[in-house]
Amino acid sequence: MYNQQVRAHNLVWSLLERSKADMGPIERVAIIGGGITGLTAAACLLSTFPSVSVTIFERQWDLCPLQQGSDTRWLHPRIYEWPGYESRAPNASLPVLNWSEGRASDVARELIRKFSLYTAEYAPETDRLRIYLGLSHLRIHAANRQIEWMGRRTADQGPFFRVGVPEGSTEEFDTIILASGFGLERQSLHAVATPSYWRNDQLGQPLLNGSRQVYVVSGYGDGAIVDLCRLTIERFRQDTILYEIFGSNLEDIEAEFRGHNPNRISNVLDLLQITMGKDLTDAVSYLGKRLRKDTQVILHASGTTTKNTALPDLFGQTSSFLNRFLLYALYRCGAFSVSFGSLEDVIRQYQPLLSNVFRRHGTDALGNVLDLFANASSMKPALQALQNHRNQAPERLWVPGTFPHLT
Amino acid sequence: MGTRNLSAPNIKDHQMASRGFGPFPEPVPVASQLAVLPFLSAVEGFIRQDAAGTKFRITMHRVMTRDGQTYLQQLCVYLGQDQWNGSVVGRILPVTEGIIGRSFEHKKIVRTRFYNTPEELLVDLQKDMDDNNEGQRKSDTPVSYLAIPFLGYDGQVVAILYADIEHFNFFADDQRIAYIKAMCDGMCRLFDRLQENPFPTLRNYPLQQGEPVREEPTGYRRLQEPVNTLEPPTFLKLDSLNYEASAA
Repeated sequence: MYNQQVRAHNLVWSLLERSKADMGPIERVAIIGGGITGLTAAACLLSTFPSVSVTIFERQWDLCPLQQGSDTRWLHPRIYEWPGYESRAPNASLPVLNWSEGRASDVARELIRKFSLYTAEYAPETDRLRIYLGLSHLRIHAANRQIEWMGRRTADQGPFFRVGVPEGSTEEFDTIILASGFGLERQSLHAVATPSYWRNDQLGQPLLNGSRQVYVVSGYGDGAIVDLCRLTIERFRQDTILYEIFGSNLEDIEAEFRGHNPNRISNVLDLLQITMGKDLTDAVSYLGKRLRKDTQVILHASGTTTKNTALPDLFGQTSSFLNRFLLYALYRCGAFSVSFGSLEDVIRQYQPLLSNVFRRHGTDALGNVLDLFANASSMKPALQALQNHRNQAPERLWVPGTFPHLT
Repeated sequence: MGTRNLSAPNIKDHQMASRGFGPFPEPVPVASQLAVLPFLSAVEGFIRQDAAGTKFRITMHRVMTRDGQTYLQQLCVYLGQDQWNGSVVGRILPVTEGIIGRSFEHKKIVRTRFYNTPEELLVDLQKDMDDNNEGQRKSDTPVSYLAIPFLGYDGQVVAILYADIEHFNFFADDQRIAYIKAMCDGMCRLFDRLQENPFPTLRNYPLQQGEPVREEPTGYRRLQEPVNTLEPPTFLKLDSLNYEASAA
């Protein structure tokens, strides 16, 4: 989320530079997506372009719909950059829509409140900002930057938005910003239908009926590993686990890891097992004392294309280094079983309740974006290249002092 | 900011080449502000007892790095003034800015030197201001300045105390500088202790060293001198000042 917000700042700053260089007007901007990224882009635009009008299009019925009410997910701005500098710092330190670590629901509430400060300051009682919610249709015609849509325009009441009657229209914009995020997780027609990662659950809570239950977590990205941790580690907290594991040695271990630049290594298993093996002995031993007694967890890790066949396959760049470290530590503790067969075989073998099977296979981000376009086939090569190269590094490129921050 | 070639291969070079920053401050964690305000208020009280009725200001700047670039950032409000002006908190400055820039570069305490008469001082002050294109001196332009760098365990500058006052030769007094420096030493000892025994939910998060962002120096070269008889206060356990409060 932080990365997306940084990109929003960078993008608006670059638009500012373009406008100063007379490289095209920035007057009518459409933002597809009313999540945190879309709101950040809108607030940046409204506060730096005095005469821009911004239109936000959001499919759901409220802003930041994924994170609203999400009490079991913890958001931290940069923890997935660990062991990088400032990765543990709780505050995002962003000039626009800044936030500190917390429950996703609290972060979302705070960001929407701050967004309302920007709208009150920079778009009061004017047509500078329009928000459409509950979109039943949206198509982008890229060639002429036209958007056709059907939805309901809102009238804001501070941080809350009332919707009007449905309407449909087609309009041209000089700039269209895609902030539709990763979308919702892929759901198959399989019997196992896992609620969205952002929906509340009880994975982190001990069972209260004295039983020991079997759980299957299918996947090996960040979402899956977080759920693996919640199911295997007693009282697991993403924000405190590093302090608990390493204690007063944390900064030293961090510095040592940093020296190896682990987020750039294609597979970190050797780093964890061999290079840093001895340094991690105490950490592993500590974690071994905290394993949950009421769960038996199977990590189904074959991947959606069943390409994984052994444990080392799980330590590539498919998740953050932090989560790969935790995965390694749990493996060393013998905290879970791992399976590389089909999900059906795992379920057949271990017989979990189907409600205890969690598919964390990510989203089809590219598919979600392509669905927005009337001419998706012609857009696909460019978007595919963007996805493959992943060159959108979250460096803060804007000149300091570009954006006002309201609290 | 003028016209730019946006097809330049390295946008960071483009950014570094721009003179000046935007008009707005960047965020400063409130915990970092609170970490230094009580100390500054004690220094303010010390100054006030000798300067009753005289206008002065005192604040702290920290060395802040963002994505490989190092700036000075005003860490908190100015104390000593009647108004509480929060809009200055988070101001970003190049490391060559004014007396704090000289203190940063030389890693020394820098202060306005002793003058025999106010008239001599004002002549030099105006010349220094002319060098910086600052226009005519106003009647309330401070006439005595002080910058005390706090060094980290690697000898790098971590923060800089800044003070100015409309009192002739105020900071030319060696004894006064020594007292203030002693207070700074106390702050260093406290923060070193806190680094060894941190509060669970209040921590200092290290900042990475970066490339200093420099512009034309604007320190007053005639007016100001380094203090060579006093070593700057030094943290033994910190190399940056970035306190934040966490949830747990």
